[in-house]
Amino acid sequence: MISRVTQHMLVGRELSSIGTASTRMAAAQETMTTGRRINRPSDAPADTTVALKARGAIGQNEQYQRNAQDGTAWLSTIDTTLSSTNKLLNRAYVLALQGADSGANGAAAESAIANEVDQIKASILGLSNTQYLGRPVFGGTTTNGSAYVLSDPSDPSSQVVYNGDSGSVNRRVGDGTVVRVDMAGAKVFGDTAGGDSVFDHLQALSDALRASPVDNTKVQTSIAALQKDMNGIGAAQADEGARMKQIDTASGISQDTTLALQKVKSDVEDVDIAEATINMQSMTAAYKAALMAVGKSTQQSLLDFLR
Amino acid sequence: MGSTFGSLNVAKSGLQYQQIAIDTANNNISNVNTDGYVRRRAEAAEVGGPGQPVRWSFTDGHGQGVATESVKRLSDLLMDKRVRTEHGNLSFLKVQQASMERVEATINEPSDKGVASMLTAYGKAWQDVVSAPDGEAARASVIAAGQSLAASITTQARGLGTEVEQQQAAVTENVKQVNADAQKLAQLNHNIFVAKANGSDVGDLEDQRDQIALDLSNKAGAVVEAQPDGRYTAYLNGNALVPPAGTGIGPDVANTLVANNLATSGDPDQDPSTTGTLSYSIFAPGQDPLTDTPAIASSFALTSGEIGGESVLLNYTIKDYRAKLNDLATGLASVVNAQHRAGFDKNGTAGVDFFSFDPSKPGGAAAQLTVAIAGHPELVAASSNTDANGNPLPLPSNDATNADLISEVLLGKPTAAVPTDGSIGSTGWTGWTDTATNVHSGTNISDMYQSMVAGLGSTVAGLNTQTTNQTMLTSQVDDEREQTVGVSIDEETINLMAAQRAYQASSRVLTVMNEVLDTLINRMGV
Repeated sequence: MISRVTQHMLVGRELSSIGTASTRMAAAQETMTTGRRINRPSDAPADTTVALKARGAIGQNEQYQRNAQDGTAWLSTIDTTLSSTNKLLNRAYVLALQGADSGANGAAAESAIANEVDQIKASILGLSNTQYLGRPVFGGTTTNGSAYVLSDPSDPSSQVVYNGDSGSVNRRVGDGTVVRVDMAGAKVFGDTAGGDSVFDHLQALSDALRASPVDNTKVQTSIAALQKDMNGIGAAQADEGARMKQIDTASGISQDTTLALQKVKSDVEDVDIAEATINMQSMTAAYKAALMAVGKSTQQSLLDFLR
Repeated sequence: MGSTFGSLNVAKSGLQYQQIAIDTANNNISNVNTDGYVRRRAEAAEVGGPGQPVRWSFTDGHGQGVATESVKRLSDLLMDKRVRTEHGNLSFLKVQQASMERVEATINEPSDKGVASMLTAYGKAWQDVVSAPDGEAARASVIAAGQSLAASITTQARGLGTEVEQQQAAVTENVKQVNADAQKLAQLNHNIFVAKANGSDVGDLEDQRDQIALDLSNKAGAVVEAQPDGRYTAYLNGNALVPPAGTGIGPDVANTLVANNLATSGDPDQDPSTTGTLSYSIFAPGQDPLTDTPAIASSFALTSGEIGGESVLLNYTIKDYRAKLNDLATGLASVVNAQHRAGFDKNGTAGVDFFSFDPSKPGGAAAQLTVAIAGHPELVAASSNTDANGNPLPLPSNDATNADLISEVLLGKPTAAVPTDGSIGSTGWTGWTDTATNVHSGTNISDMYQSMVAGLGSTVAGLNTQTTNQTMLTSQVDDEREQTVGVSIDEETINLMAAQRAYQASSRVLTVMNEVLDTLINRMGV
C-alpha cells in the first residue's frame, strides 16, 4: 500500500524500470546476435554440461572418422597387393604344372619356365614390400622401410628373410573399437624363418626346374606348396575384407552418432530464431513502454494546474 | 479580546509561523533531489491563554496565537535500520555477482577456445600421432596442441589471480573507507549531541549521519542503531566499531577495523590450499595494529556488505575454483606424464614427462603448466616396447600403442591410468571431491572440468537470482522509506499555498486590527 508518492520515488522507479527493460533487451539482443542460448555457463548450468559433453564427443567422433579413413586406405592397399600376389602365384602354379610335364619340354623350355618363376619371385618380393605413406604394410611397426629382404642382396636366389617386427598397426574407429589395419607378413607369405615361405617355395620350384633332368618329385611338392600358399592368401583376403567391413560399420555408427550429437548440441546451445525474434520484439516494446511512461509522468505536477 | 495590542501579537505569531512554514516548504522543494535528504515539517503549537487568569488581568482566556514548536525531521529510525540491513545484503551479493561474472567470462565456456575444446583437440592430436608416428608433423602437432591446452589453463589461472588481486585491493580500500566513516560517525554523534543541547537545528547533520550509517552498512554490513541519547552506534558482527558513549573507552571515539591475512588470502602467488583465511579485528583507539593484541575483537568474519562479499570470494568461491583448477592441471600432468613415461620416443628411448610445472612457483600447477618437450617432436613417446601379445618389440618402432592410450585417458574413456578414486598414488595427485556431495565428480579429466564449469555456472546463476531478488526487496524497502522521508512537490505546493493563504489571512487580521485601533484612537472622543 503506497500512502505517499514522492518525486524521488518516481524517478527511482523510472530509472530502475528503464534499467530492467534495457538489460532484458540487451540479453535478448545477445541471444539474437550470437544465435546461442548459452553464452556463459550461468545461462543454463545443466545444459552447459550437456553442451560440453556433446562438443567433446563430436570431436571424438570426428577423429574416429579420420581414423577410419586412414584405416580404409591401409586395408585397400593391402587388398590390391593381395590380389596381385594371388595372380602371380596363380601364374607360378600354371608354370609348375607345365614344367612338371617334362616329357613335352626340352631343357631350354624348362630353363625359360624357371626364369619366369624367378621373375615371379622377384615381383612378389616387390609386392611384399608395398608401402602405405612410407610404411611397409606387411612389416608390422618396423622403422626399417621394408618387410622382406634378400639375405644376400646381390644374389636373387638367396634366402628371403623377414625384416619387420611383430607389432601391429591399429586404428581406433569407435568407442572401444580398435581395428588392426596392417597385415602380418607371415600370414600372407608364410614362415620365412622356417624355410616355409612363398619365396622358399618359388625358389624350390625354380631350382627343381633348372635341375637336369627336371626333378619331378620336387616340382610336385612345389605345386602342393603353391596351392597351400594361394589358400593362405585367400584366407588373408577374407580376413582383410572382414576388417574393412568392421571399419565401415564403425564409421557408419560414428557418422550417425556425430549427427545425433550435433542435434543435441544445437538443441541446448542454439537459439530458436522465431522464439528469440518474438522475445526481442516484446523486450523492445517493454523498453519503449518504460521510456514512454517516464516521458508522461515526469512532465506533470500540480504546478501545471495552478495559476 | 484581551489587551489593546494583544491581538496584534496573535496576528504576528501567525505571520511568523506561516513564514517558517513557507521556508520549510521552500527548503523541502530545493532538496527534492538531494540524496539522503529527509523532509521537514514545521510543527505548529497553539499558544493557549493562561489557565488561571490573575486578578485584574486583561486576558479573556482565549488562545494567544501560534508558536513554531519545531521543524521536525520526518525520519523513521526503524525503517532506516531496515533499509541499511537490506542495502548491506545487496552489496554483499552484488560484489560477488560482479566478480563471478568476470570469472565466468575468463573461463569462456562453452566455446571453441576454452579448456574443454583444447582437451578434445589434444586428445585428437594424439590419435593423429597414432596414424602417423613415423613423421615429424603429427608429433609436432601434439606438442602444439599440448601447448594450447596448457595455455588455456594458465590463462584461466592468471585470470583468477587477477580477480583475487582486485578483490584484495577492494578490501583494502573498503576497510579504509569504513574506518573513515566510523571516525565521521563518532564526530557527528558528538556534534549533534552538542548542537541539540544548544538548541540548534541538527537536521542537516542528521542527514549526513544517516548517509554515513548507510555507507557503513553498504561497505561492511555494519549494524547501526540509535541510542537513547541520540547517538548512533555501529557494530560489525556484534563487535563495536563505534561504541555507545560512556562505555569502555569514553564518548565519541571510533575503533579501528583491520583485515587479517589479507595479503595471503587467495594469494595468486601461492598454492590455493596454503592460503590464509581473511578475517577481521577491531583495535581500540591508540593501539598499534602491527604490534598490539586487538582490544575489542579479533579474527571475526564479516558476512554482509561489500567487505563480506569480498571475503566470501577470497575465502571460498574463487579459492575453491582455483584449487579445482590446480587439481585439474596437476591431474592432467600426472596422468599424461605417467602414460608418456611408459612409452618410447622416436629414437627408442624411454619417454620423459610431457607436461611440467613447478608447484612451488607462483600460482601452483594451473598457472605454471607448460609442455616439457616443446620443440622436440622426436621425444613424443608414441610407441610401446611390446606387441599386442606381450612380446618385445624392437625399438625404435612405428608402434603407436602408447599414443592411443594417452588419447584414451583424455578422450573420455577412463583407463587404468585414472583410478576411480581420483588418486594416482606416487605421482601425488589426490584429485578433488565435490564439496557438496563429497563424491569424486569426474571419472576423467574432461568430466572433472565439465563439472567444474557447471558448478561455476550454478554459482553465478544462483548469485544472479539472489541479487535480482535482493534488488527487488531493497527497492521495496527504499520505497517504503521514501514514502516517509521523501519530498513530494505536489504536497509541498499545497503546503506552500496553504501557508501563503494563512499568511494573507494573518495580514488581513492586522489590517482589521489597524482599522479597529484607528477607530479607537483617532475617532473616539474627538
